[in-house]
Amino acid sequence: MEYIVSAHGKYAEEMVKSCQLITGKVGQFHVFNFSVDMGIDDVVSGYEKIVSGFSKKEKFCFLTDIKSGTPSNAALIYCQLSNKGAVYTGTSLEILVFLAMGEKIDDIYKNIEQFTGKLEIRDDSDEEEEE
Amino acid sequence: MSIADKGIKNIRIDERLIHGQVATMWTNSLQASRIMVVDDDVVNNKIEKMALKTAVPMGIKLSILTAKGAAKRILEDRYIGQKVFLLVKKPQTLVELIDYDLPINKIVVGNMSSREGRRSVKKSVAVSQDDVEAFNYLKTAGVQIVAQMVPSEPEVDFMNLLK
Repeated sequence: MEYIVSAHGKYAEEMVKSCQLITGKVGQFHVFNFSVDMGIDDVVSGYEKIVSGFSKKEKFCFLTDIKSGTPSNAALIYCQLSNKGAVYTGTSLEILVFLAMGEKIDDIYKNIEQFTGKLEIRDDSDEEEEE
Repeated sequence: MSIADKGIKNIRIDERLIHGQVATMWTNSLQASRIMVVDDDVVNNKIEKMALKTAVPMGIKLSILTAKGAAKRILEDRYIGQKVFLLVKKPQTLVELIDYDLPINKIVVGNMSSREGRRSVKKSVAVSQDDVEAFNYLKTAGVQIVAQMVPSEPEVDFMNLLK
């Protein structure tokens, strides 16, 4: 699976860079930086250019930053036009790291509550420790 | 019996203990079933212990032990059949483990932060003279010492970096 990480400003690029600090280099992430001077057609053609670099059999999906944002809207349009791909939004560093670890994207989103939100302090005594 | 037969899958020096690289890529690629933090100071620090317990990835057991306690437990064969990922902050702790007769044959050097009195030997690894002496002691004891930040990076001979 190839992932096109697309977001406002340089969020996508920097998120992938930060991910690689943790995971080492990840070949399946492809970045699209959306700047406000672009129109939606520019974004769609940007996606076309990225996807044209994939082999025909390769599956891909879009990882966008925010629902209803242009990166996400353009991804939806691209998927409809080409009848390929899927769009996931709400991409975070944590999601990229899980993908780099080989987790399946649908499993990550299904279990998202397990690793996001308020951290509950674990100070249970069933761990092995010495005083 | 080798240390691997005793259930110790990997031994890593990483000053930040359980952090991004360790909790994700390392734990995953080693398929670790237990993370063992060996550090006398951490054992006596309630707040640091709480943070480690909260940071340990789900489903992974955690031990927080002194060098003496860890050596005793490992030599008692308590971890046979497990996949223990042993973490220390500094090479001196491994010297202690060797002196407690733990048959360590290989260690991986991860993050050692730069600060006054330390010289940088590679990206995010800096050593003091005391650290160098500890590494020399480990080398003389027959330990293979490699540097590797994340599993996808190749291992490099750490002693060559100290020259």
